[in-house]
Amino acid sequence: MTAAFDETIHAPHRLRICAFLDATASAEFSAIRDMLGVADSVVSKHVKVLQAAGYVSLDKPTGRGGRVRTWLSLTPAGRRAFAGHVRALRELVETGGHQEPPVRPLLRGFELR
Amino acid sequence: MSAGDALGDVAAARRAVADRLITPWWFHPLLGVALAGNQLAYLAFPPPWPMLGQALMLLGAVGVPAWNRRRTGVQPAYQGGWSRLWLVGLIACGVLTFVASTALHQLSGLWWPSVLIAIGTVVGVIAFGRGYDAALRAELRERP
Repeated sequence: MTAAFDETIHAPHRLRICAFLDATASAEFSAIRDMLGVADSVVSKHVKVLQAAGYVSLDKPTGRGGRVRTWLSLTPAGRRAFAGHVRALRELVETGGHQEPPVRPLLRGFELR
Repeated sequence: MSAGDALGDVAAARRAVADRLITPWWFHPLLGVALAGNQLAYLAFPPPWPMLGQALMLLGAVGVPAWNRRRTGVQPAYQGGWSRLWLVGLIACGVLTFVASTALHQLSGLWWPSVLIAIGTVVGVIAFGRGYDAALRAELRERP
């Protein structure tokens, strides 16, 4: 597994979503929302970005009483990208202490929080 | 966000998964009693009754984790570390006690060794099951 810094993953909420999903086979949307402590819309926004990158897949089985629960899981590409990103972060810490990761300056102002 | 802070967030997210993985206290005792009951039913009743019990136990073994998955909102992933040894121990406990119970009863015709083994099955399933849960949570919390 090669270290590769991934700007899609590095945004704080998306990093935590990926870390949560990496530790599970799948997780329900509400579990991720509770972990982040943010509104549904915020989670949806970040999940859409990860989904567009091909890192997260969604499953919506119909529950009891017709209630739809959304289950999320990391795709194989998502697991590889997350593992590479964590490796890159470790290398940064080992080589440069607490230096800032290489976020492109033009994108810095538009990072989703 | 610095790389160190980012790694701290990753560790916090893993701890959040570990905190959610709570098996109901009655699950392993119930699984142990179901396994032990099936061992004794296999010796005490003619077919197809023991198979009916095994089918019910299998339904429970699949249904209860599925219910717990909906309750906790998390489907655990096998971590591939030493927690796997506890899971192997749990399966071995179920298989070996079944074989020993059946063999001892057929060789000796006595009931008390099988009853003792059934009690041991309940204790073993609780010990290995809870050991697996604890090891899985520890791996999630400690893995860098």
